[in-house]
Amino acid sequence: MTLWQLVIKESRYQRLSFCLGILAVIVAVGVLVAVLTILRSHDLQTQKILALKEEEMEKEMSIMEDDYRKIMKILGFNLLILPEGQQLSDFYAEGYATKDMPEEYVERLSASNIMTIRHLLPSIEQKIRWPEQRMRTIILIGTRGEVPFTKRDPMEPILVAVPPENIVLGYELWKSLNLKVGDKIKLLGKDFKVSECHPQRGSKDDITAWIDLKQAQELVGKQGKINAILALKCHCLGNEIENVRKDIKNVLPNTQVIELASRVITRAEARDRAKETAEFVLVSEKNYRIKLRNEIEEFAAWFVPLIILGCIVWIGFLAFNNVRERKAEIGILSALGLRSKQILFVFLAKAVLLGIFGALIGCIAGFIVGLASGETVFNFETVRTLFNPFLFLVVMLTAPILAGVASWIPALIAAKQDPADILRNE
Amino acid sequence: MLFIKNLSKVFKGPKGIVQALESVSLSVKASEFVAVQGPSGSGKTTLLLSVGGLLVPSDGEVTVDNQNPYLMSPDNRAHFRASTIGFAFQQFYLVPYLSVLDNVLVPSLAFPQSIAIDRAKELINRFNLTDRIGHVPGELSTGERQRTAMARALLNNPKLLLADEPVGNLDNENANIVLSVLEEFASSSGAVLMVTHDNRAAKYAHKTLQLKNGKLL
Repeated sequence: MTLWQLVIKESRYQRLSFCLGILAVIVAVGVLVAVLTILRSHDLQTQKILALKEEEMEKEMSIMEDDYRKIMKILGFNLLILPEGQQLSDFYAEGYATKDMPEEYVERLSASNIMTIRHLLPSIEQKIRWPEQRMRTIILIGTRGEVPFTKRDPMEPILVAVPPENIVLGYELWKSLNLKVGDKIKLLGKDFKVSECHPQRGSKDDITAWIDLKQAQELVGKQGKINAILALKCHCLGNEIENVRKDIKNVLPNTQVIELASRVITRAEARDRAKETAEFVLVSEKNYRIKLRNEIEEFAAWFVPLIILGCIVWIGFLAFNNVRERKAEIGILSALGLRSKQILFVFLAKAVLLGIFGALIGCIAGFIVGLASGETVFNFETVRTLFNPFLFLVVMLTAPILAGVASWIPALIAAKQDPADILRNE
Repeated sequence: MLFIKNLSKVFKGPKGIVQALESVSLSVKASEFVAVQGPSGSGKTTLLLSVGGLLVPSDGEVTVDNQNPYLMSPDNRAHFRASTIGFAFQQFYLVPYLSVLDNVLVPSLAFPQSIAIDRAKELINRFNLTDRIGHVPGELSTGERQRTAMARALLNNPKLLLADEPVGNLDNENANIVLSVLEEFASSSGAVLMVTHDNRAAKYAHKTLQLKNGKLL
């Protein structure tokens, strides 16, 4: 007979006590494994939900992207071609280009075969004093209307030219001067007939006077010059605007191209906003899942140690009771020559034994409970994913050690008992 | 085999000092069966436990097989006890969850790698317990329990057998069996020190001593 056989026989004899010990380990290990499995299951479900939502968002964004591309194709966008030396800061400050470039540029562009550009509007624009009207400040714009493309079929012009000797007035000008269509006025010594009065636009247009390009060039002393070419309703797919810019620069190297704020940009911004909103929803979902996980974790952080501690005390109590009940046996074992460490072994081995059995059953039970309580669907794949061999290994090693630690003091008491004292008093 | 010289044992209890043994001196040679008789409380069990290396004397000297167990470390003393001394108690102290065979084998636990099963079976047969070999103490009669305890005491072939009231709870038939075994053990060059207040036991002893109030008369 060996000490292990003695331990096993005693455990079988004291079935209830041994089973209660195993139960304590099952509870401790089971709770730990169940909680960790639930957390793992939660993480897995979070990954799945987020991946699904991300996929849905990508799909929706892809559809939206396609929709906007189509919208952009229909709407086109507006470009402004400015002289190369024009400081954009000055342009934005003044509201028009202060530098100029040859009017011939527009002819060069119209003769090119850049198919994405549709309408060309050359203009010269300058802030001037109107001497005939008490030197009030106005914006004079000279335009020749739309310049047709020589290599394409003619298109319906989107802007009609102002005929010579005619003037089109912004709301603030005609209103304050009490002018109407057909009235004659003098500007910088030249006579003009009011051909159109614009309604109020609430912009600088309200103090603008449009006249024929050639007359405007003469009036400001810039014959043959323009300071901007407006390219309207350009067709472009997605981010091909950069290519359009390159094409224009190839034809007109001494220019710069800027994109004017347009509905397309607004739509693009709306699309970005939609994406941001979708991402926000995704982040919110993620945060909610993290919060939920933290709540489970916080609960587990005190609940699991409490249960484990309770079980350790429970095992310790059972071991202590076992020592008390086996006093006579300890006495006779000592009298028959068993050493203290052998007595210690008898009690610790029992604790280790119940630790192993309890850990094994607790692991399986805890895993099943965790699976059942978790958020994931029960199937082979889930079991395979959630099963953590490392956790099982750690638990299988730790539980017997902790059971041994719990029984350490009672086992030490047993080993230190005086056999003579026991045998005299029994 | 056993020499006791001026052995004294004093217990300090809540009610004061109790002199359990006072200058007890005796010797038991090999092949000698010595009985110590005395009434309850005379110090018999204290004498036996002191001789068995289980109770450190307050004074005096105990030598078993030319060795003083109290000069040894606790582990060496345990080993010495297991290899040299056999114990038999009135209360048997059988392990309740072990069979007769396993109970007899308990002393072999003190020796790692010990294979004592043949010796155990031989003793069980000698004590007419073969048909009870797989039974636990709860299924045995009082006589069978004491015989089991005697078999256990003899497992490791001790040189000294210490018996504390070995027949106190037994009928004549069982008492005679046990006492015959003790006598037989002594005749085969073993030494037996038995403490008892039973007159039947004294008849088998080669020498009977009287102990009263911790003193040998």
